[in-house]
Amino acid sequence: MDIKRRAFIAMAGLSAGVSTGIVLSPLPWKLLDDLAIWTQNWSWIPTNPKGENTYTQSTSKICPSGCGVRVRLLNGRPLRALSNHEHPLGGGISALAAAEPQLMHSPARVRKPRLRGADGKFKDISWAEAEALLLAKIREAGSDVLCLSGDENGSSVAVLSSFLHHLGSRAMYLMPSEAQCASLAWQATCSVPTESQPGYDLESSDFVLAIGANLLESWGTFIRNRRIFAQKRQADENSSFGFVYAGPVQNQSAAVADSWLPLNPAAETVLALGLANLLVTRYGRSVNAPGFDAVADNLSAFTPDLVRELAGVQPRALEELAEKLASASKPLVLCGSEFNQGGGLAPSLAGLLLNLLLRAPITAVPLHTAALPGALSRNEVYKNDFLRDLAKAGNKLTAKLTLFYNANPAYGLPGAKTVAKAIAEAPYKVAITPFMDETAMLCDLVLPDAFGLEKLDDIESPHGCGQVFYGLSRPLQKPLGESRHGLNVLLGLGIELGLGIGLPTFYEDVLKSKAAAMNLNWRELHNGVTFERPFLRLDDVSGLDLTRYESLLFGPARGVQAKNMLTLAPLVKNALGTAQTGIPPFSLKIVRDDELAGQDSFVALCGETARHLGLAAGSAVKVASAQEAVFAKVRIYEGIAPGSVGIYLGFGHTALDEFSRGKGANAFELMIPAEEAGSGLMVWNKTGVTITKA
Amino acid sequence: MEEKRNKAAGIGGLISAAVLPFIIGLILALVIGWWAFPLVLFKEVPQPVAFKHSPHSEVMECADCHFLREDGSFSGIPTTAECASCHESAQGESRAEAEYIEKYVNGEQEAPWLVHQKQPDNAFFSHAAHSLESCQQMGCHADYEKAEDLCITCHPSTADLDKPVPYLENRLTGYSNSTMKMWECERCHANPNHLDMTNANNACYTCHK
Repeated sequence: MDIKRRAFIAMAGLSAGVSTGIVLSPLPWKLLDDLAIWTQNWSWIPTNPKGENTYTQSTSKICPSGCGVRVRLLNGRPLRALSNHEHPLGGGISALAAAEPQLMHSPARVRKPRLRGADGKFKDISWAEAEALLLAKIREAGSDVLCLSGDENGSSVAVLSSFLHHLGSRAMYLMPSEAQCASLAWQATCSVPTESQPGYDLESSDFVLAIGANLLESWGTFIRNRRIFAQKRQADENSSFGFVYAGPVQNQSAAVADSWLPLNPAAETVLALGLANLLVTRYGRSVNAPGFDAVADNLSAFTPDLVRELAGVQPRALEELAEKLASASKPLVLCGSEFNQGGGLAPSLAGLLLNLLLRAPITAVPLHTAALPGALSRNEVYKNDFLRDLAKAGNKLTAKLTLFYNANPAYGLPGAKTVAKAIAEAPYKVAITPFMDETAMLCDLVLPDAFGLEKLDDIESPHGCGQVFYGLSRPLQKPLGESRHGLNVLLGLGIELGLGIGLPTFYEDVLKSKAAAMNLNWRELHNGVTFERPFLRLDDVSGLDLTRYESLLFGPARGVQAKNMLTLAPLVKNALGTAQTGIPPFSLKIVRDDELAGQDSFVALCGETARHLGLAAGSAVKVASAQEAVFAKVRIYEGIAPGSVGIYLGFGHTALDEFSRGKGANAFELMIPAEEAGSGLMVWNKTGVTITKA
Repeated sequence: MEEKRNKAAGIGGLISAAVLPFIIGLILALVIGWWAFPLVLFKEVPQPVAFKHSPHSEVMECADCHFLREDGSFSGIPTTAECASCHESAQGESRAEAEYIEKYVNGEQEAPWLVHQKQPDNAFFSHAAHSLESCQQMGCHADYEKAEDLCITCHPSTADLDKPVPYLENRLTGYSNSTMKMWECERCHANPNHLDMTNANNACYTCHK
């Protein structure tokens, strides 16, 4: 086409005019902006639902502290767990309880029953198939059935043990805990009331000595403990309330205590006995109970010099502490393992002895067991030690059928690899679990259990509380996928098996009967109200008897040897979850860079220990015990006693989801359980390790 | 000389030949950009019910329906149950009211109201932080006597309208043409000394969670 010069210029002018006009109009700018917004609204991009917030109360079943929560719901769906200041065990919220609503949607949840095929891989099956299979396996096993549960505070203990009783088995176990040690120590000390546990009246105490017990992070009802601590501190800036922490690590409790007394790992008993000796010899304290004379004789060996040698506490510090205890009007001693397990009976007995000498505000908290035929109380189940029986059987699970209820022993027991091997080789094993954890991965049949705010469950007087407590964890949303309440499944199987005598159809019936037996109003209870009931002061506790202390307490205490090697000091942080939950994704942002960097977790050493080993911050090291070795990086931390190796529990999962799997090392693999002299309980609080550059 | 004259006439001619098309193009583009483009971009979508504010504002306060809840969240548009507290049966002879009662009150369902000021999920706006009480506490807008005085600084007043405000939906974004954009928030947030009072935080996380 022949375009004349003049026409070309006219077209150029028109184009320039159009361009200028477009630029001066909103068209390009608005279009660009809207296109950007358009990309945010594609149909597959999720959006927040709108609606009205409602709130309801519950008790967290997954947090070991049993803390109260106020749940925010949007259109009836639980979105957030908040603190509940009206709850007897509330007043704040733990990291784990706060993560509960989100954790219900964890990618690690089991959504359908799963069966391991001949090729070793899992395949989804229907509930009908799963129940028929389990029924056949139970019939085949007869009375040779073992059950390990991870729920020690609920009525599940009664249901599971009653179920086993009907089958003819008494092999009911709970995952080991500090509560087990405290309960057994209590039962070894007093006989009335028969079914009770020690309670700790922190509210009325004016001086608290925590030996090992990480009072404000992991020991007992730690959210309640924090509330009481805060109230005592806030009441008066010059409050006379005193708090001393003694332990190998300057942990969360030590950080806010009036003073921290560095202690060798596993030396809690020695320190407590050293203090008891001073109270008896210098302050004339005694206990009006049979066996006390022998106790006093044995105590005389625990001189300040011996305490210095075994526990690393200087005589002057010991004497000052004894004086503080003796001069306080209501002193209270909390003695236990720093990581809430594996300490054995001795630390709990030693703590109890100190409290008896001090006339401390400890109480007897009566326990109630659901009235089911053959049901065991949790105190009775505590007498069964899973690790001890496993060791006796040559680290083999020989029962024809092993049932794991909300327990993850393949990860969370000492010598985890040995335990995992035993589970893998067990004849037939079934996991009732909300999560595809390490134990579930080894089982033949996995039944998806409802979790947290999806299921009705109860919490009775968690370890550490001062009074009788009973509360419900309430179902606020439908179970995820095809999950069901595991205990309802078992009760249904009980009917199929013809075990029906005395066994109810639904777990809810068990709880209703229990509430009625405790004279509690079910309707109020179901609305989230929790109850505290009277308890017994120490003066009302009868049947005190210290005659067994000779063998149970002083036997193991005399066996403590001076520290001459690196010793593992396991640490607990609630945000890192439990063996069952893994690390909640919600908590990842509060995992610090010196706790986990990439895939590496850390071991904490003080500068002196690191220099001695030729290590610096960030050094890659191999930490080895006689059992196993793990790899980690070095963190220099001056809040740890020389010769102690701090290591967080909660890392090193090999199952669960991407937020937990492959993150750091599992400290349980390093630990070696050994039998405690006297009680025969397995202990694993003094693991010797070596550290070399990796 | 003749050559120079011819050259000058040529340049002048070229300019005159370009100017008129330029002006025509400019006007055309401005008309398209400012008038036609919005007509194409937005479509008018009817509300589910032809709601009139004016009869309500004669007998009620705005806050009777649009209020802050105890937890600080804003109630927004009343629910059917709240409307039914007055409109369980017809209050007048309006056809729209009759339809509303029949379909939503009797049918026990929420009307799918189109919200002019709907914000995307990534913008977190708290009415509580922008309430009259907050403003009065800080000393600004002390002359405002009631909450509505403050509301209309962002939301055009509809109290006196006897027909629904046309809802113009952006065909690309799905939002209404009344949805506040970030620059409007920035009038205060980018000016921390707004009225020498607010010290409004302009950090990203203030609004984007």
